[in-house]
Amino acid sequence: MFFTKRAVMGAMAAGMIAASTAAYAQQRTNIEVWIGLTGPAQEEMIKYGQEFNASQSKYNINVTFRGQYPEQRAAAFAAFRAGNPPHVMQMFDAGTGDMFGLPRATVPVSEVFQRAGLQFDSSQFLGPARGYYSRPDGTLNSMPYNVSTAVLFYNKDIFKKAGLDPNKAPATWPEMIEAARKIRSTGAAECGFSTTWLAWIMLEQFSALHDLPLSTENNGRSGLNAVLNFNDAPRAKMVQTLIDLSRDKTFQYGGRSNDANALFVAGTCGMLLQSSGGHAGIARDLKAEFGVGFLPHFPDITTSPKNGIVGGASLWVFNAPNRSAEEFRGVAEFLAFMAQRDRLVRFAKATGFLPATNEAFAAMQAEGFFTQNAGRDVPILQLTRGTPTSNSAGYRFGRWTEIRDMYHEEVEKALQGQQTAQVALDNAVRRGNEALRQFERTATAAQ
Amino acid sequence: MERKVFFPGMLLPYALLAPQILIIMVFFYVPAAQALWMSTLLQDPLGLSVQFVGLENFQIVLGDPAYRQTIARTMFFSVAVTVCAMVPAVLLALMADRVVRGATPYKTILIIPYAIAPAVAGALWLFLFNPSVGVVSYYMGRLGLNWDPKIDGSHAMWLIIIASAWKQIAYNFVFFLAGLQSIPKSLIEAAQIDGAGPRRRFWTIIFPLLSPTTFFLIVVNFVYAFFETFGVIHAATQGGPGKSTEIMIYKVWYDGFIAQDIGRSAAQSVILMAIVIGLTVLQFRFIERKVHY
Amino acid sequence: MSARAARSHLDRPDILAHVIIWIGILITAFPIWVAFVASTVDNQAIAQAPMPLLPGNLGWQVYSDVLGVGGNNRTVGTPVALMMWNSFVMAMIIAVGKIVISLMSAYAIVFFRVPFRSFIFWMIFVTLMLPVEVRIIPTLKVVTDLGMLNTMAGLTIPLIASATATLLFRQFFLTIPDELVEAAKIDNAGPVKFFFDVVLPLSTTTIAALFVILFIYGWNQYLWPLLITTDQSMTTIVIGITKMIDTSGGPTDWNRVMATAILTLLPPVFVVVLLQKWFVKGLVETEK
Repeated sequence: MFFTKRAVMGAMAAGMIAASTAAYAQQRTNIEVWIGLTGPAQEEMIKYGQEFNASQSKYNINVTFRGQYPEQRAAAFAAFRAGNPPHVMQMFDAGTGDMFGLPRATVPVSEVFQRAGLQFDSSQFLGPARGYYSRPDGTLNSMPYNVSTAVLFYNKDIFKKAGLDPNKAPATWPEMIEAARKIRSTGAAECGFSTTWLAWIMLEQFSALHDLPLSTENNGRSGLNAVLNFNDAPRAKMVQTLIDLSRDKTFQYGGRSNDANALFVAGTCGMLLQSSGGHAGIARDLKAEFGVGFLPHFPDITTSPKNGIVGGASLWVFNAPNRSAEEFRGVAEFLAFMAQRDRLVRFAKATGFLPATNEAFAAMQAEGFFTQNAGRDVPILQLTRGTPTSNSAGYRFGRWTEIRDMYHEEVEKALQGQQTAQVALDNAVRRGNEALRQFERTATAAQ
Repeated sequence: MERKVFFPGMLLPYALLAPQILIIMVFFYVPAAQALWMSTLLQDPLGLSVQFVGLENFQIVLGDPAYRQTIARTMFFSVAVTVCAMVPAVLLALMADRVVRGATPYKTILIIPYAIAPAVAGALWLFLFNPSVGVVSYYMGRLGLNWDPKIDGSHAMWLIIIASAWKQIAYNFVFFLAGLQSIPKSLIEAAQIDGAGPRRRFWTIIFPLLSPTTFFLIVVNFVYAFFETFGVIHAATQGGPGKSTEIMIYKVWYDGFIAQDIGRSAAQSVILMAIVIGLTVLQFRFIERKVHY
Repeated sequence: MSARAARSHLDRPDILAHVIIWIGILITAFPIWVAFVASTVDNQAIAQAPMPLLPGNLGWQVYSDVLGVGGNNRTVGTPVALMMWNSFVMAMIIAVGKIVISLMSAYAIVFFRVPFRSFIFWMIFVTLMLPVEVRIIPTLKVVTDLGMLNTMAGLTIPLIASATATLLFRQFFLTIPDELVEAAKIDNAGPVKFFFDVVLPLSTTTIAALFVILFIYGWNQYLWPLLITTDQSMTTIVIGITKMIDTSGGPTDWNRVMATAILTLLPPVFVVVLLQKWFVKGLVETEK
């Protein structure tokens, strides 16, 4: 244990090859796994590392939390530049395009398994998750792990007070708006509904549900030269609806990330659009009964809403000049260990994320988990609804984190009455395309 | 001022200088030069491809209306922080200079915020003004003032101005008090005997004598607002909502670290360097003038 | 004191001054008081606005929680005690390191006539102009290239790389009379002996004052540790606080955040209050 890999490399360089390989062989191969998750999910993943270590004697997995996703990513990139990136890094959904744009930096997980000679069937993963993290040729680039999607949570007590049916979630936007207005007009709550993760829900999920493209080139999956084009009438209608409803608090904006969750938990808002990953927190903190429903859609845009888009994160395998075949083998075995059905079921139960594979979902259904935990299956049903189209199978853009923030900024300005919904989207698209073009330049050069 | 007597020897002094020189070479001059170099490059986040693009990063940054807004916002923020931190400080220093009873405990309490980290100051004020749990925002709501720094950009801006100024008042207070105490009491007494009231005494005697301190503090407060308030902003608003509390140093960090756009971030660093050097030169020219007094 | 006593005798007893100072104290103390109260109640009491303004029933419970298990295990898995220790080590290395290095270089510049002396002086002097924040990304690159990420050295040494202390010591050394140096030379005392027998004892006040300022400077560092410490066992307490507020999962445990905030501000406040006299003197002299 006292020989770090770096020390071993140094010793080798100094000519002590025989001595150091002896020391190397005696001990386990160290594998660094960096995760960006917090809370129960973090605890679970750290445990899996320990369980893996106990299950075999060749590898030593070290699972560590390195700050939340953006900070963790920056740290991993800095380590990559220094020649020593982690073996595995957990990267959030929006960072996927950046990683795809830098293929020399990573090894696709399909290839990692292949090299290790391990059986690996990528079709076991939930369709939208597989689509999100795969290349056009079907190679799985990163392994989906914590999978989520957005759903509607509603407070049943507030629904009752407002004279609404507590056992029926609004299914469409007109129903949603009517319910929200009723909550306001009856004084059942201060605000009708709020939303977390504005861009992810109001732009990305909305577009997938209504089968609308975010850009050309198959939402960026077919090429780096994709041009954003989400500034059309349906998307503007969504934003304009929010603006109009925010005037009388039928809708209350609660910030671009997860802050609105507090509004729902405190009973300020009767409904909340939120990541399915928020289920456990709501169950713990909300002092009322609540229900879960599909994300609403506009029937005048589509009558058969598609599947939602996945959120969460996936596990990426870094490439580096000093990586041995043995290390990649260890990575493959650990990933296979992580993707075992029972472990995925355990992870889903403990965290509120979704089981990443169809098999794990079926196992949870079979043991009656969803009858005991009403509403926990809604996100999976929404994710697996229908056949994914090119618009709902995910998207792939470089610098998407930044572009999301551009959308946030422009829409926030519109919510403050500084511009119309259309102008907000026009600006977001224009600025987003500038970022995409710059990414295209650097990524093309880095291929 | 120079010494006339020296110790002989070369080895010892160079050995004594070596650590400092080494550290500033490696961690000051090299990075400063790298900032200049990186500002002319376009590279991907992992440094796999590096292209020389000349001044393109500067063109992009300076041509971006969002960046010009950031400059304007930084100026507004800095002026506001400076005023909000200096006016109460001078008032408190005048009063503390006047009172006898309890002067020492007063002073002790008033300088405490100096010791508090900007990020902690940001967290404390965020807690007071938090729309869902904040005490101040609750009572403001009761008064019909809707205060929500999570949504309203100008509310957020005032939140970080207040938090930043709150911390800096203590610093200014120390200097103003020191400045006041160095004013010869005879001058004040003479003016009192001449029948000059407190206000007149302030404007005709105290204020002119405090002006070197004031000028010095303006520069220091500006530098504080430019750089050290990063912690306040990161803790309280994270630059939002929108970009409404993103000042220049925050944008350097965001673009370089979160967005991983190293070239543009470096270009902004260089622009900031130019501004700081300007401020420093201003300060030194002033100090030089003071030496001639 | 007597001068001001005389002055206020000339004025009427000044109630206004006391009132204004009390307003100042209220503004100064209010956020800290609210934080303290919040750290003694449960989160439900905080969430049910308005939160109470008198300490609650949990007593020191929250403090022992955070010191043991790490503020809010949803966001940082590092115990507050460890983060405080990291901050303490960082602040001490920065303060002591900077003082030692600056003493050495200032001594060399002032008491020796070496070639390139003024060039070296200017080289050091220029570092005053650019705070570490301005050159943050390239400095990160240098530290990365040197393999110093997540090390105490990487955390502290770049922050030592500025000249404030050197200039202050130089300023002070220049006031040491030439006669003392002459006398030392006559006694055949070398520069090392002179330093320890004469210069160092004379510098104690300056050193103490600088220590206070640099300790606070080090303890309160934010942007640099944010970039350089990605390993959670290296997290400093000031970073830890904002990580606790960060909203990635459920709601923030404000009582724990505020308990941590109080713990964070105690050491530097303690240092300032305890060494107030030196600190004020040092601050005014360093900056002028």
